[in-house]
Amino acid sequence: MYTFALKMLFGDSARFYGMLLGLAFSTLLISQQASIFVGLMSRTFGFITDTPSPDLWIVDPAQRFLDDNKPLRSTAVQRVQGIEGIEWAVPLYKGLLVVNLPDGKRQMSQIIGIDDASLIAAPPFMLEGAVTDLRKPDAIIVDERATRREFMMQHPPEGGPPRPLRVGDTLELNDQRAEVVGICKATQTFQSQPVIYTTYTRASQFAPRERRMVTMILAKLEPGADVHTVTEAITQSTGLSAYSSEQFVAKTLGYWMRETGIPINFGTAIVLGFFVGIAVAGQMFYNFVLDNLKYFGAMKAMGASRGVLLRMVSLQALTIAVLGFGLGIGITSTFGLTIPGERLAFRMTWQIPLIAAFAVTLICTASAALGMWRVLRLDPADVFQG
Amino acid sequence: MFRPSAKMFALIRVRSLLIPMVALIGIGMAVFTVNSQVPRVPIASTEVAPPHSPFEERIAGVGTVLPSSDIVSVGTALAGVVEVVAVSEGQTVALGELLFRLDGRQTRAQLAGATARLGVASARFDALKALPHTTSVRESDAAVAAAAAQLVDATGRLARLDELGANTSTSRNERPRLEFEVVAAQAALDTAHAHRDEVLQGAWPEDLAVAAAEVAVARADVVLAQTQLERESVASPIAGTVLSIDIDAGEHIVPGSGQQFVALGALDPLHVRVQIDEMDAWRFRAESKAVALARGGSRSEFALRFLRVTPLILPKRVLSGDSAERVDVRVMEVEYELENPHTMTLMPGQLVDVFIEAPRAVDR
Repeated sequence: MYTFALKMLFGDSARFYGMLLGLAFSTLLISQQASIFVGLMSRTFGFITDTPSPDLWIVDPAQRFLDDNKPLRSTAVQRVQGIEGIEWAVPLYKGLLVVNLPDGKRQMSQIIGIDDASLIAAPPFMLEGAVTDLRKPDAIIVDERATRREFMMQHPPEGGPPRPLRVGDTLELNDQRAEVVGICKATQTFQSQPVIYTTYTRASQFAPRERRMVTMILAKLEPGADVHTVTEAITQSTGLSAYSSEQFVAKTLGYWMRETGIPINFGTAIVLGFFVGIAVAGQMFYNFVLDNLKYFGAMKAMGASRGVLLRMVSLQALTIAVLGFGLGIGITSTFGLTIPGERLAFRMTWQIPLIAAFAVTLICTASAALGMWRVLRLDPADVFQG
Repeated sequence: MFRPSAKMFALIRVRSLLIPMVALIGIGMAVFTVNSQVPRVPIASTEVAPPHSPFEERIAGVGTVLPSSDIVSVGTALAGVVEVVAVSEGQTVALGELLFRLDGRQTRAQLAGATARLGVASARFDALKALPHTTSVRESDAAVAAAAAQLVDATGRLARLDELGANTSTSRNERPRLEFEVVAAQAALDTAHAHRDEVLQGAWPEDLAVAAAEVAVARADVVLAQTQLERESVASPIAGTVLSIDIDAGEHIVPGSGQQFVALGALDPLHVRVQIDEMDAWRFRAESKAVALARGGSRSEFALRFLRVTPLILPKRVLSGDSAERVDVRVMEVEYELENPHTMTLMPGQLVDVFIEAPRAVDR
């Protein structure tokens, strides 16, 4: 019986391919848009996830998201160090500076100044050189992506064809000499500026004159200390806000979700994918069931129970759902794996295929339910009369 | 009844085998994609844990290691070209030891001139003191003798005329003339005596005083040049260690230029000057335990002994090493002494994290 149900499904080639493509397209639209959305959004807090050592991120209470810099007084670091439950606290500088390339190009870049002594918040992955090379004079570490793009040298000082920036090259940061000692791989920023790492002291020399140089304070909890208690203590004694990494990610994400049109934009595309699925595949599946009513009628006449008929339709719905989903998610994955990550923010988390699968299943179940309603109400006599 | 043909069966097989396979591959790829995009946790192996307080409740501050003498920046009051730098960095120097000397050629020339002028003045004074010369005495003695002889001659001739008789016509004209000659000879003798007295007297005291004053002026000039020469040699005002030298032989230096020519300091013991945020100042207790921790992962901990609090809350300078340091917040400065003075792992000028035991910051 069930083999027969499948034969019915695979036999009707026009409808089969129609449904398959409709569901695949729907899956593609939902999963691909969701992946790009997640990818784009994860760039807004990439620095937080790149930096695993601190437990707490201490910022000005008015700071709304990661890049919304509101620098702190320099003694704030010591005041946080003085709070019970804090294992250590280090300053961090984060700001945008103009970088001059040897070939005369100017480029706004993100400078991250990490604590000189501890090198906390160092780049997550080093491709060339070592983080400790930052102890050399004028040393900076440049993100690999930028060396090939913004920092591509059209006219290298030694002559020859254009080449990427490499270790040993010198740049000018705010008109001061800086030497590339390492190439790292960091999460791309939302605005895609090149990321340059250096030490806090050097960053404050590169940076223009400002009264306050500490962008934020990174702190670690003592083993066994309660996050909530310490956070409260920090707020109470210094007037600053302290967030755990998760909270800071959520705060940053919340800002971009609330204050920008990005979620609405992508949400619309995802909903559209769902409706395309319903309009094309759902409607086609319903038609398919209607067209095959005569067979269901015959089987009913031959004594097939309601349960058997229901399971047959369900099997058909589930099969086409799985095939359509598989095809769609395969296309999305191919897309995600082939397009280089720096062109397009693409990040498929495990929830995305599940959501797409759920959507496809929903489309099929809904249209199958409608079809089954007809099957169940079917009077075998009608079939034979026709 | 549904009866598919043989050809149809083949088609169905393609659909029923190929499509599910493609779908399976698709799902597999999705699993791979999801797995490959799970954010990898970076290995932060190069990070060095920053110093961590040994006290539960504490004040944290940034301390600067200083010599107990503070940093003595030795200056000079004279501008000039450096002739010799007599010490090297790290060398221990005694009180009064030569550090560097400015080019003293001109001063030495001035000293030679002044010395010569002193010689002139002294000689002149000595010459005055050497008066009267014996020849002058003899000359005036001779003049006295000659005048005395003249007087004897005139007196003799008058006496002889009187013996001839008073009424000769000769004597009438002769006698007044001879009387006059006696008077003139007497006067000449007096003059000779006076001249002799003057010669015997020697230099006048007033002249001697002028000459002595000239000697004093010349001597003062010599002392001036010598002092100048001494000032061109800069000596150590303390016993300590040369911390840094920023001058070289041949360099022209100008006092008040802000350049630190030679920095000295007494390194035994070392002090630590801690800056504490004014907001935390109320929590500070002089008797509290305090430790300094070196940065950079050495995990060295140094016990501190309280010395004094600077009784003035100061604007904090951002210790960026920039000459134009910026005012950020106000801080209280507390000075400590390192309990173990023989720790050569700390150097003057080094920044350390200092933790001072303190009452709770919150709930009070």
